[in-house]
Parts: sequence; C-alpha cells; structure tokens
Amino acid sequence: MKYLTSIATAALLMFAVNVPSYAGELAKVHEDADVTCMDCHGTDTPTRRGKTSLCKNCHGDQIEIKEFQVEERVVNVHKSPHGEIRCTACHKTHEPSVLYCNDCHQYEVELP
Amino acid sequence: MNKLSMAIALSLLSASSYAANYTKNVDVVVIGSGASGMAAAAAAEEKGLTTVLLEKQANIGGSALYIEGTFAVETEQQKSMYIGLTKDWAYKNHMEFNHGFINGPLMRKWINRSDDSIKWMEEKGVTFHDVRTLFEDGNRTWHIFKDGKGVEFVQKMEQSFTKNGGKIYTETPATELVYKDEKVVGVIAEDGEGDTYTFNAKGGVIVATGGFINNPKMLKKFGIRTDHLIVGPKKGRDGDSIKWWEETGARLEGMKTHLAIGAWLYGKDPNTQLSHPEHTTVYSQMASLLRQPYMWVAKDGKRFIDESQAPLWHNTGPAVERVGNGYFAVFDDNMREYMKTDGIDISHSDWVRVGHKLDLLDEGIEVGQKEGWLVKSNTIEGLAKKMGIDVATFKQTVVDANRYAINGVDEEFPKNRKYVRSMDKPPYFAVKGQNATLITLGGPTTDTDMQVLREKDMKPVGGLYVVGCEVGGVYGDSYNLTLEGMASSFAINSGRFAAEHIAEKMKL
Repeated sequence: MKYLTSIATAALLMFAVNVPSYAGELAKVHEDADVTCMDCHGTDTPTRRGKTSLCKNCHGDQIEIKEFQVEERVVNVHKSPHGEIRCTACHKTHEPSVLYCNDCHQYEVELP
Repeated sequence: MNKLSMAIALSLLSASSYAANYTKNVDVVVIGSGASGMAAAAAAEEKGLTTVLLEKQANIGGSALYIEGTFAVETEQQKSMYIGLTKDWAYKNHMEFNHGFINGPLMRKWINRSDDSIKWMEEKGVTFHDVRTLFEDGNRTWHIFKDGKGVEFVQKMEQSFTKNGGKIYTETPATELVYKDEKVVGVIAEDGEGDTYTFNAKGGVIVATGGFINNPKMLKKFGIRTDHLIVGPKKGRDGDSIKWWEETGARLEGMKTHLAIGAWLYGKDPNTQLSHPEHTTVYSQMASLLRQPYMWVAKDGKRFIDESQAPLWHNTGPAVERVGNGYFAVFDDNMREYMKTDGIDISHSDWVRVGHKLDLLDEGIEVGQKEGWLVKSNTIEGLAKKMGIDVATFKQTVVDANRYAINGVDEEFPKNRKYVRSMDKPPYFAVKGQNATLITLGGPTTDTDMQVLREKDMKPVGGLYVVGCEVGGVYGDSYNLTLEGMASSFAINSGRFAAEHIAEKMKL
C-alpha cells in the first residue's frame, strides 16, 4: 500500500506540474465561463484530448465563420472538403492554436 | 495519509478506466484513406460488406489529394478523341519497360479493368475534363481530374462509402493486426481522443497505408537516400505496415523503388510549386525553369545529361542522383526574354504547361535571390563563383555550349537541335534544384486478388490484403511514366480488386 501511495503521490505531483496554466486565450474564455476539465475532457483529471462531441454540447454542430476566396474557390475552414476534422486538430486551448489546413495550404487565418 | 492516498489512487483509477474500449464486428477494415483505401472502402460498402475505414491523419485523402490525373486505356473519352491506344499495347509497354520484373497477371488484370474503373468513378460523380500527356506526341492515357486535383475523387468516394453505411475514423491509426493461426482476423486501433477499438473483420483487412516515404529510418533501411524533398503530405506515410509484413512472413519486393520527380527549388517545400495551369504562381513558374531543356550543370561545373529528357523523370531522377541529387538550370538574358514572351518549351507536369509565358519570371528572380535558390551575375566567372563551382570548368562548359549553338549540334549528348541554345547575353542566371520524391513503390508480393503472399510457400496470408503504392511487383526499378497516371490507376483498381475478392469469398 505504501508503494501504491508513493506512485499515486508521484503521479499527482506530476499532474500538479502539468496543470493547465490557462495562458491561452481559449482556455481563459472557457475558465471565465466556468467550464470545468470534466466538461471537455470527460474526467476531472484530464487524461486525453477534449472530445469533439463535448465541444458540440455547448457550441452546436457548426460555428459560422467568415468565408474567403482563394483563386477559383471559396474557402470555409469549418467546412473542410477533406472529411470531418476534429475541433482540437486546430483549437489547442492549452497551447497556441494552429490551422491544420496549413499542413498543405497557405491560408492567412487567425483562429482562437 | 492513508485516506488521501486511497482517494488519489481511486481518482487515478477512475480516470484511466474512463477510456472506452469498443469491440465491433465488421466484414472489412480498410487502413488508410488515400486513392486505394478510398476505392477499396467505397467498393466494399457498395457490395454490401460492412466496412470501416481507418485514417491516421485528421483529414482523409492522403497522397490522393495530390493526384492530377489517372491512367486508363480504351475509355470512352479516348475513343471520342480518336486515341487508339490499346490494353495490349499498355501491357506490352509495361512488361518491356520493367524487363519482366513485375507481376504480369496482376498487371494484365489492372490494365484490362482500367477503363471500367473510369466509368465506375463517373457513376459516383467523379469528373474528368481532359485526356493529356506530358510529352511531345506522348501517349494520351492521363485522365485529368476536376481542377487537376484528386480532391473531388476523394469526396465522391467518401460520399458513396458513407451513404452506403460505411464509417470513417480519422486520427485513428491501426496499431496492431489481430493475427491468429496464420490468419488476420481483425485490427486494433486507437483514436485521437483516446478511445480504443477492436475490429473483428470477418472478410478481411485491406492495408492501404501508403508506404514509408515520410520515414527516413525506413528509407535508409531499404536503400533509398534521404535527401529528397517530398512532394505531397509531409507526414503519415510512415511505414506502419512494415511490421505487419514481418509478422506475417510476407514476401517483399521492390522496396528500393520510389516515385522520384526531378528537381524542385532547392530546400523549398515542393508543395509551394504546384499550381492550376490557369493560376500559375511565382514558385510554380520558377520550378518550371528546372524542367527546361537548355543547360543543366552539376556541382563539378559540367553538363551531365541530354536536358531534353527533362519530362522523363524516370531518366532524369537517377542521373541527378548520380551527380549529388541536385543541379543548376542555367540560362542567359535571351532565354529569360524568350520564356517570358514565347513561353516555356517543356511542361512542369500539368501545373505549368508547355507554351505558358512566364509573366512572373522577373519577380521570381528577385524572390529566388532573396531565398537563396537563384543566383545572377553579369559575367560567367561571377555566376560560377555564386554557384560555388569551379570557374574554369564552368567557363569551358559555356564555351562548348556556345559552339554547339552555332553549329546546331550538341557534341556531348544527342539533344534535339531545337533545344541547343547559346549562353552569351548577360546577365546570366542559375536556379538551384534538388530532387524530390512522392511515394515509395515497394511492398508485399500479391496474387491478382491483392492477397498478401507468404515468403515461405507463396500462399496467401488468410484475411490480409494490400493495395495501392505499397504493393510489390508493380514496378521494376522505377515508375513507368510512359503509362501516365499509372500509380493512382493501380491504386484505385487494386482497391476494387481486394473488395471484390472479399465480397466473392463471403458470397454476397
């Protein structure tokens, strides 16, 4: 049991170090709205990424955003022609967000 | 303390137990959503097989998003254009090109079905707007997708697949095959949100993971140099299947073969140099300079090839590898003017077409100097110094080239005289190019139903199929660019073959 205690304490300490700093703008917005770890991650102590289905619980299925023109096509980064992309592919919350599209494209888009 | 430790331990236990484990019984699991995986999934679901499609990346499409067009012969499009190329011609061409080092029966089956697959795609809403070639008087087998991109193809396959009940799991790599009594009976996978899945596959597992071009360690292991730029996705094609071939004792062939595509702007992501033929860009126009048939110079200051071979990547790629995997395309001010006003003589694939007038060339020259892949000088000596090559050797190369231009005869290589040009009007320019590659082309030997064969007895591993660019026995030592669009065509057709075999096996 002592052994288990030390593992558990060590794990807790490690976790304590990694507690989200809420440095990101998106994290702050969620914190201010009283969103808890559980609401996004499904557990009080997050063990994995936030679930898209849990994002949709509050935000709905589709958030309308501004479209823009690139050459011959109209682009809406919330309506990918390459399959359904998980919210957290771009919106990182506890670290700077990145536009996943730009793995291949070169769009100039600011995202929360 | 004891109470606290219990509470902590319990909370940790409850946290870890939250991760859901799902077990699903299906007929088919397709691993990978490139051209072969999409075709396999759509074909399987269409045949009534309960199918799941696993994709490691956040988006679907893989290398297929970068396809411009696809090979076929004896299609209605070709018939309407009086293109008389036949299936027999294509088969003989491919066998001769590869000196027979390929899977003849499978090649015959693929070529014979190529026209049917064009119809099959059209029935699913895929559109083709032209049948083109990259060569002067070349073989017009290349059926160009909408906008010269594979995007619509992927979308239409997805629509067909999901409409028929198929389910796609993105960010869900297959981590293990379930291999029991020498048969593959399922797949274990984990998704991006931590849920794990065991898929029991009654009919079979179709591996379409797209090879290992993004994995330098594996490239090294199988004898492919690692200093190529990569056209297409920069991650995902990591050789996830190699461990499965080892585990099941598959016979591998052609592991050293890859789809090299000669040179791109040095050190720059080739994806920046792709464009729509009606919307060319500074970078795509500048990359086209590396395809022009005038003067290519290696690090030693000498020419090394008949430059008019430029569109034949399977010839230029190895020649460029031999001189250090890069070269300089050199031209003078007359040629700069010619390419601006008369247009280029050789296409940069279908991204910048032959005859295209390089209206962005002057802008590109400025950008290239800033970014370090282009140098300019008013003297040959100055240019050689900026290129970092031996001045005397390069001067001799230029003197020789100017003599060839006057005589209309290339004394070194048998280049068509219409491409023999002088280098005598300053300023002079040199664009630095680096070889690139798209996909690896080796993998397990299969039968004509795409079943993976075992090394020990050349019998199929039960339930295990491989499709697309990671099938062995499709190529000898290089891609066959004289059957233009063959990689995607083989991918799409092999995907269908695997699905059809499973359906037949399950008597649906």
